[in-house]
Amino acid sequence: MWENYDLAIIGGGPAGLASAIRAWKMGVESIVLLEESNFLGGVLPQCIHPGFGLHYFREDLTGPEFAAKLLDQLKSTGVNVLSGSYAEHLEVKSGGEKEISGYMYGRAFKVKCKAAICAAGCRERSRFEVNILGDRPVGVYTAGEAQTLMDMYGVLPGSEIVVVGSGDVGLIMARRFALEGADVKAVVEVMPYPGGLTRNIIQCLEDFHIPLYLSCMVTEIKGSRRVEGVKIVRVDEKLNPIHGSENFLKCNAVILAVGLKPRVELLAKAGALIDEATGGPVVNDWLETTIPGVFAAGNVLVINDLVDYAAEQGERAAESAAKLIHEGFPTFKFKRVVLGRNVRLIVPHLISCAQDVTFYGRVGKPEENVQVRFEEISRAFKLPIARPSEMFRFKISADDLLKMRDEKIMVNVVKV
Amino acid sequence: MSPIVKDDQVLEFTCIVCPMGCRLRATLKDGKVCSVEGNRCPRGIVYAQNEVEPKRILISVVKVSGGNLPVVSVKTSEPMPKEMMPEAMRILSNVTVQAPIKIGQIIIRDFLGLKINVIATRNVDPVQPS
Ligand code: SF4
Repeated sequence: MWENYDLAIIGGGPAGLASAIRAWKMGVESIVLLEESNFLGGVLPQCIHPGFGLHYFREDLTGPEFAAKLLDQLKSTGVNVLSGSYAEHLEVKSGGEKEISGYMYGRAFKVKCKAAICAAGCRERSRFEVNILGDRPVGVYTAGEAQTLMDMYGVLPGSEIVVVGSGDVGLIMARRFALEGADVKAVVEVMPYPGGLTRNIIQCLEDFHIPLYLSCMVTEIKGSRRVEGVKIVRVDEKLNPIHGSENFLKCNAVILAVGLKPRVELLAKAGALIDEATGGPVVNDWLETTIPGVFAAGNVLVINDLVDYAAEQGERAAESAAKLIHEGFPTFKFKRVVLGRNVRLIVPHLISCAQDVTFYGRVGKPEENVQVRFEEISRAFKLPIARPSEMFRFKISADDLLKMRDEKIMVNVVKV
Repeated sequence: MSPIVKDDQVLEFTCIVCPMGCRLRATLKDGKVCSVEGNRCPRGIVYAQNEVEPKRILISVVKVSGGNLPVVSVKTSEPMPKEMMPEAMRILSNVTVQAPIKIGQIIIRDFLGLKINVIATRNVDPVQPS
């Protein structure tokens, strides 16, 4: 038996919630929200530190507070929430109708919809994706798992901890462990520069006297039952291990904060084109994937620095879906966004030039006093400090984009 | 970070107000900042003045009895002096609250005599009698 909706949203994290609320406000009356776990909010409920919502709510909130605000708004809508439902297949029928099927508490479910928004979020990379070999003892967790243990269930994952990865997630977790009384032995970073924001280096590491080992790599985990320690080696500029620089660091827990990957399986299986740079789907400025009527928002689209951006993309996707449902999409001739000098990734990938566009991107390597230049329309934005870990976000108006005569728009990061 | 005390009069630290991360040198007189060098903008001066006695929002979890979760996340309603954090954590580790707990509920009033409160940042429902 199929249930029919105008809009189906896959994922009840910040992007999915924001899109459900926005779509309802835009007058879409038949909406289903598919969430695989038994609570809403995605990763927010376990991110108990402040720093969320400065853009979106103009307030400094903790993760659970940010989620609660969205859930409050959701309550006043007629969105049908199906929690515990895992969407496995998405298929587009000849009339453009989409069918989504999957499992809900062990039983099959199916929904039909005119438009779908994929807000499936991301997953954490595992030790094997960063070649950490050795034993498989108790005490190896991803940062997210450790966070669930500690901040949802009050269990400290170890008393002597090594954190792998110095992105903001790793830094924030290092501080949480130290605050709760664990001895954080080190944060280990393979790059010669830290992955996270300066403010987190200072407030998370220096405030708690936690050592940061740059240009170092954890190569092996040792321990028969419980983690007993890790093997660390220094790396050269090409990130190759330096022979003879091995060291053993004693610890009883290893926390991996080694990056996030968009969960694109559903979209990829359905035939959406995936961008190697972002790991997410290729989208146009409506945040529509290469499957017509299927949109993407949040960390499944591109790994965002801020939950605010994920929510903003959710709203954007909802506005597009509402337009499609109410009036249909005109046919556009899209122009390609091309990655130029020191631009590692950028979304959206295709632009219609029919509306204002918010671009999100990252540089490839750290630089100072640079400009992000959109060549064909001669627009440039200053970036005093450019770091791979800090997303840039610029809005360009339709008026500017209309000036474009070429078939593509090249984005370069150049010295001023 | 803890300011590096060069001598009684000069403190050095990194401004974290924006990503520029200026290295600041603040000169003190009678415990007050009288001049700042190294800042690329005026916000660095305000930052330096505050950083002489650094304050942070404290976040943690406290135990819950009778709830659908064993702990509830909390934060201080205002930033508190950094050097009081170890003591604050000791106190929080000995607190147990009864479910249900509502987001924004005061867990500890006038925490450490600082005229700030410790408040819950999530809802915890009571366990359903099975
Ligand atoms: S002094 Fe101004 S420019 Fe420098 S880090 Fe602070 S806020 Fe940024």
